[in-house]
Amino acid sequence: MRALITALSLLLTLIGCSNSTPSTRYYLLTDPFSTQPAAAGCAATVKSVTLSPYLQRNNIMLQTTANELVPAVQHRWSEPLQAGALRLLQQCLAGSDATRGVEIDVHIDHLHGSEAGNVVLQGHWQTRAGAGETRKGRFDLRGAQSAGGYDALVAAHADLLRNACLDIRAALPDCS
Amino acid sequence: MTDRNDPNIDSPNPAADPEHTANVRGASRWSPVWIVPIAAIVIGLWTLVQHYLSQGPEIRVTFATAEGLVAGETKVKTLDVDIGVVEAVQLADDFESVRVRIKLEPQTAPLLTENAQFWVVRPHIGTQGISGLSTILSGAYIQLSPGDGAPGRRDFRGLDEMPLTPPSTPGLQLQLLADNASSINVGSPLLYNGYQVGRIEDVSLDSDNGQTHYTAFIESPYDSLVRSTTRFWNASGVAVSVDVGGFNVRTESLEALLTGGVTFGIPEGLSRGLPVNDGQTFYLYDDIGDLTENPHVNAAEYTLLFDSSIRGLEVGAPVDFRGMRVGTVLSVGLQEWDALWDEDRGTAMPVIVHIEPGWLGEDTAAAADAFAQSLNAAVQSGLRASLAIGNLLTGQLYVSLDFHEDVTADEVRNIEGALHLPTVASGLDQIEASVANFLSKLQQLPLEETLDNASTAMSQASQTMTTSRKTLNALTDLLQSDDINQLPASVTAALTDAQSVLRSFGPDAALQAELLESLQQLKTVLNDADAVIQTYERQPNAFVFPSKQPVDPQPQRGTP
Repeated sequence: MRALITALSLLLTLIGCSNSTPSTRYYLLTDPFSTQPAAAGCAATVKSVTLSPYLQRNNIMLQTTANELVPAVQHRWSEPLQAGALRLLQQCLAGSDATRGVEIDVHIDHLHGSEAGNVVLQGHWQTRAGAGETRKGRFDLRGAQSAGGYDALVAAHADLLRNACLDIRAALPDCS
Repeated sequence: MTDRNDPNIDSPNPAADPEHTANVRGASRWSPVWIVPIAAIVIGLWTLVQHYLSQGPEIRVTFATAEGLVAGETKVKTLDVDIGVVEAVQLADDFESVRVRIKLEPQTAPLLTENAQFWVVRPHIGTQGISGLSTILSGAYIQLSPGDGAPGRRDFRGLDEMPLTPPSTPGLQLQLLADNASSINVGSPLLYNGYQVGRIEDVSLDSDNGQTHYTAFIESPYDSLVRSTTRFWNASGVAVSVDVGGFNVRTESLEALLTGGVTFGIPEGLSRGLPVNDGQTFYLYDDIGDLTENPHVNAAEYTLLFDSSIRGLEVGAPVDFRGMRVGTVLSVGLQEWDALWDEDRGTAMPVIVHIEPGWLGEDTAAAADAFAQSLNAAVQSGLRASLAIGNLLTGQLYVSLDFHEDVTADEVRNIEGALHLPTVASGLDQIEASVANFLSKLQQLPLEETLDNASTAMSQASQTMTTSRKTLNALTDLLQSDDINQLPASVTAALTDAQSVLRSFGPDAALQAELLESLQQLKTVLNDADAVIQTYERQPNAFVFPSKQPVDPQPQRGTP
């Protein structure tokens, strides 16, 4: 009897101390113009995308102050950000055929949003050594969320990545 | 009537008593008788004076011998005219010559000058020809050749033979010195371009240095051909040379061929020089070849001391500066046999050379002095003398002057009046010293031990070779076996499999992509685990009492 009471007391205590945890949401980078065909005759493909260490996590990063970044706990990437960025850039640059022409390596230094709704994308790219001249360039893009929330934040991420892809296209002689 | 003027009357007062006084007359001091003797005396004196004045000068001539001279008979002639006679022939006081007293005619007094010459004309046969044949019948006579100078001389020394050149002949008399000119005699012609312009008048031998002295006379106007740069050489005999054209025979003249002769001229390359004076001395070269080799007169003498053998270096060898002749070797070696070693010189062999500036410029004494000064400066800058080989077949040496870099500072030294040029070992000596040094070092090497070790190593190598040969044979058999023949195919197949395996690990392989993806997922998991660990660090009882999760900040709509 005593044991029963102790167990029940413990159970009630545990129930009383338990907290409810909010559910986690997962997001996917999607190219808003993925259905449009790539530029005809663009012989380039993205072979790799590398991220800065702070982006190598499945938390969506949000800048809260000038120097503070907060990894969102309930809002996460459904796939590694590196994989999503690679897919989006490949689709944008060469359409469905990701094996043609010059190979490009992309590195993303910064890709995050802010509480104010501004998104930043910074990084650089370089063509791989092979036939022809080696080309390289930088992109520094900023955008704004069209609406509040993480869904719009992810959409803004995808927009910036597409703009970076367009900048790379413009720098390549076969794609401009 | 009494004549008052009558000198025979000596009366103090002739007017007082002309009838009772005696006429006293003194005896006359002079008698007319004396007229005759006085006249005779005067006439005698006058005759004596006239006789004395009509006598010609009396001279004394000393001859070596009185052969053919007879007192009272032997005549004295000049230009074949009798002008005197020998009065007495006597022995001289030293009993080594004869004194001949000669009475000449009065008008010959002006001929007795300081340079008048007397000689006895006798029959004579010589290289100049036959002379004096007329004296065979008439007897010998004394010939007078009047010279120039002041008259009044009365004592003469007679010549043994007729002088070749009369003393009054205008021209130039020179002295020639020769080391060896046996073919030149008195009377030998002096030639210029084959034309006789003079002759040798006298020959004598200098017993001190063995040189022959010749007195040469060149007649005017050809004496102007002789200048300070003129060179004399022996033109006697015949010069024979052989070239591709055949034999060449050359002689100056028949007389030169028979009696010897001397030619002179200015060698090519020398300036005309200055006029010369009577009695100037010249060197007589042996021949034109000797002149060509040593045409210069002015030189500076230097002594060289060589530590090596001087065999092959001869007198007359050239002294060269980088191929240009600048001098001649004058003497080689020791002059005294008991001076093999000298305290100052050591055992070095002396060589005396003449540095002749004429080879490079003017052949004058001033040029020689200037050249000596420049040579001293050159020695201070490293100029040294050395022996060099002139002919490899004969071993003839010559003296070479050249600048050397690796020499100690030195200068021209004056040792007991002789100028010494510093010397260095010749190239051959240096090579010889290097070879000797190398051989001595080689001798010190342990060659026997090395050879023994090499022999041992060779025998071991031979054994190794034998073993290797056996192994090689076995390997050949192995390689020729069937199993080995099938090996390449197996290896190829294995290599192909290995290549495909490696390709699966390549940068484009799926395996690598999967590995990278796995690594990425692992990293993500670790990042999440890191967050959990931080939570438990912050709240250890979070497992039991989980903390309330903070709500993620919400991004707002941005401003484009």
